Amino acid sequence: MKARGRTEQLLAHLYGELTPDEEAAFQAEMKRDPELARLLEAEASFDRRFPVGQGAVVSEEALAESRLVLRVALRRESSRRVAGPVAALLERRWRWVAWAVPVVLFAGIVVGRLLPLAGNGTGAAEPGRVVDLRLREYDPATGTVALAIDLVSSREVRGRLEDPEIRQLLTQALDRDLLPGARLAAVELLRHQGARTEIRLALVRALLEDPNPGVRLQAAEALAGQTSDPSVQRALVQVLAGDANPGVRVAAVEALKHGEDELTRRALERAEAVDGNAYVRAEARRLLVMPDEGSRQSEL
Amino acid sequence: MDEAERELILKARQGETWAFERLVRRYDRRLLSVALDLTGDLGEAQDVLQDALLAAYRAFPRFRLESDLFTWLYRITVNLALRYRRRRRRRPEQPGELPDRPTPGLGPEEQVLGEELERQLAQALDELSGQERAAFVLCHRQGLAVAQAAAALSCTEGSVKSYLFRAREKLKRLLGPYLEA
Repeated sequence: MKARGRTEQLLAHLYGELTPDEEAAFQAEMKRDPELARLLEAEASFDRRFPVGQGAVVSEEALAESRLVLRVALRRESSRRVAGPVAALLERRWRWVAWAVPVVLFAGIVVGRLLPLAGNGTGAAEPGRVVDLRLREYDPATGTVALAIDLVSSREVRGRLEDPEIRQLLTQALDRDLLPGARLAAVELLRHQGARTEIRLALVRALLEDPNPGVRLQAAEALAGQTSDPSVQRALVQVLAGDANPGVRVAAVEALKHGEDELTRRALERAEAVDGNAYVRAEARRLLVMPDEGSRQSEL
Repeated sequence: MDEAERELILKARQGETWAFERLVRRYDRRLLSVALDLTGDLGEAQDVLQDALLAAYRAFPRFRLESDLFTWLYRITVNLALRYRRRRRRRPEQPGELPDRPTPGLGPEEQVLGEELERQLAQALDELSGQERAAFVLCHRQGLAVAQAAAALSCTEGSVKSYLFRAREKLKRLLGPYLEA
């Protein structure tokens, strides 16, 4: 064993890095050397005031916020990765692009001319903003097009999440909004209101029916604390058994971790046996073997 | 590395964002804690964490299964936090603050004294060099072994011990009156 300097020995002792033999030798040295004992007491006094392992405390709110921001950032990153191959695919489909481009340009001009007419009494168009434009028909022979245009007018609503009007609007957004990003935001805002029956039911509908897997995943996470409600438990079991997206099934298995009833147990056994995703199978197995482990956060 | 983590790593290496999210959830609390200890500011710590995890996601296809994921993430986070700290202009009127630590079992007076001590520690940490602060935060505040801290800081164990010793000497000098109280 290498001889250590006195300081290095002290630090190694304080941070628990001495082997048992080295610790025994250090204790013996301390008894013989009062100066070493005095130095140790000075260091120990510092450690009593500032104990080892007492790092900065992270609030649940800060952690939740960081996780949400990361999720959005990862989606953007993932989209950027997809854009390259998609652009290459589009380049190969130039034939339909060649005739679609002038049609869309024409449609844009038509829409642009329609909007200034709003409010001047001609009644040619509804006021509002174009949010979607769909080409229904195009006849090159006659040059006629049929377009479906979705217009919206917007108003700002301010309030607290506890306000009935706000909750109602968010629930409607969860059910009806065309944009998955808006439905995602609605789930995030409603996740702490799950104690209310109408919110819980809206989250269950999103879990079972939303076409976007990200929304279904987030709904599963939001319902994790509501498994005492049989409808929530049944929905999570159904999703674990049948959702096509492995991420959603992962969220479902994690949301079921506190369930110890027969229905949950059967669902976990089935997932362990037949799920197509190895992580889902491993998590289901872990929860079946050590149900208490499922409620503890993984630590080093 | 358990079987679940191994599967998640394989999926994340293929670009599956849900797998990457699951992986980092095992460690993000500790990563945010060390970022907060190193920067002294919650907003900055959250920025550090996001940048670190995004950098990890981009580099993940090259992550080797035999490596230790936590140490790898820790190293990225610590390096970024130190870089943030070097870039930040010194604001003497706003010394770094660590969040107040609720301590069960203490009366109100002791609680206030404890909070004051944490504030004084945060100010004293600002006086350390980047490496001294990093060694103290990793080994003392976060409880990492010297070998782990050396891996996170990409330096030798001897260097970590040296930084740690210097950090403690400076902190004892700066916080002397509070230690004797």
